[in-house]
Amino acid sequence: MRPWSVALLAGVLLSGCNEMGRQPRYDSSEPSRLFADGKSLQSAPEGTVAQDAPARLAALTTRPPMSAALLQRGQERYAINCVPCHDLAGDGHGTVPARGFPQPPSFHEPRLVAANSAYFVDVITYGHGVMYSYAARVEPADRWAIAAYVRALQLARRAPADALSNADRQALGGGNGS
Amino acid sequence: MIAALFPDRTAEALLIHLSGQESEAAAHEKDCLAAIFGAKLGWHGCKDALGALLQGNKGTGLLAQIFTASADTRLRAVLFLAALVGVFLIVFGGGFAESTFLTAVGWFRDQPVPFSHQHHVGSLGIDCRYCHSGVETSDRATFPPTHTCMTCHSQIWTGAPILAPVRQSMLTGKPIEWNRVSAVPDYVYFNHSIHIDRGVPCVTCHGRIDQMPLTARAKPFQMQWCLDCHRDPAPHLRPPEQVTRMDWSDWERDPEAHKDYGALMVQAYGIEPAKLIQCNTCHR
Repeated sequence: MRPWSVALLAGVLLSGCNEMGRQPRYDSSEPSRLFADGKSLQSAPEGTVAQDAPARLAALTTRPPMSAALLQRGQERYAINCVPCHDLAGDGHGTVPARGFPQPPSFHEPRLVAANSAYFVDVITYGHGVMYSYAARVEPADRWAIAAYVRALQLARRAPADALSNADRQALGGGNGS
Repeated sequence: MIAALFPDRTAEALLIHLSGQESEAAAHEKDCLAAIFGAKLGWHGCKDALGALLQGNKGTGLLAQIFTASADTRLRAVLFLAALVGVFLIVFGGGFAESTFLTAVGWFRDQPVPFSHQHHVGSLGIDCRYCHSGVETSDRATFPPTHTCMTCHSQIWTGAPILAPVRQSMLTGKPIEWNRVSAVPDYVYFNHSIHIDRGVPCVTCHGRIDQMPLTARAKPFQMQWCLDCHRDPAPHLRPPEQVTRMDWSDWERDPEAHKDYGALMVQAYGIEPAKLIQCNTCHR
């Protein structure tokens, strides 16, 4: 065979391979033969301190100022992470307790109304009772946002109507009375 | 075919050349040529004539003049190309390239645990981001660690045999080896976070995951399919705060009410479709 026909044949045969589609590299979470435990995602050696550790610690220990943006962020994060158990209103009647998970306490019970925001951040970080830690899923700043939103939920149940502005009362459909 | 075999001689020239010779072999070759170039011999006669022609080396030596030195290679090349065209016709014309056999659309994959998105998303209403917590900030949707499964299953279905691999994984720290359902080739650099941020809903690429008892790929994940959206992103954009919503039938039922949304958001985000279809947007 002539060289050009060999080259043509090789080109056509090689086009059947898809070596570029599965390159010899590790994508995240892929198994690995390189490490003894078979994971390509290796955890950091013990005692490693992440570069952003001080920033995260600061975010965890410093309460951000209350703002509408914080509440909005909190509402969104609450809907993602908390609603399955605590439900949209915070009574603890979520779909997961309805299927047999122990029912969480209502955010409107006196003990939790009296608790400060740092307590909620703490429970999100370390878990409480049968509730697992959410530290790996909810960023420190978002924990404060969720705590702020829980405060808003509590206030919504307890705020005296007199404290509302006329515009708020009308928006809620309560007229201008109590 | 004939043209490839006889590049620099015409039939007429050959016939004239042969007519000057009187030998039996020359007469025979004349018949053969007449057969090839359209004389009325019919198929069988033509076949016989060709056979005679191919054995005609003992004749006047004209065969060497008819067939150039490269005729054999040319014939092979032509046959090879014809076979190639046949394969292409089957792959692209016959629909093999778009078949679900190749794209895996709708094919459920075996998993170590028969996880049901229908139950967790559809029935329980758990947001996608509860488990795929990195989807807003990283290129990957991120697989939930076993810890996330056990958040509920430390209390619910604690003895269920189908959850044994989950408990085993929690005990040993060895991750569950899920099989990927939706994957792009390694030369495609897809980034989830930008799509989520701009409001391309999960359902656009992953289908009605809330209706899948087992998980299957919903869309072909081929380049043409990616480009369909990248060429004209506006109609595919939705409010980012509702990005995990599955049912957009009310939005799609009334295109007039939402016809400006996409166009305005393309402007607001500064999306340039011309850039979205450049090679290095996805291939680096």
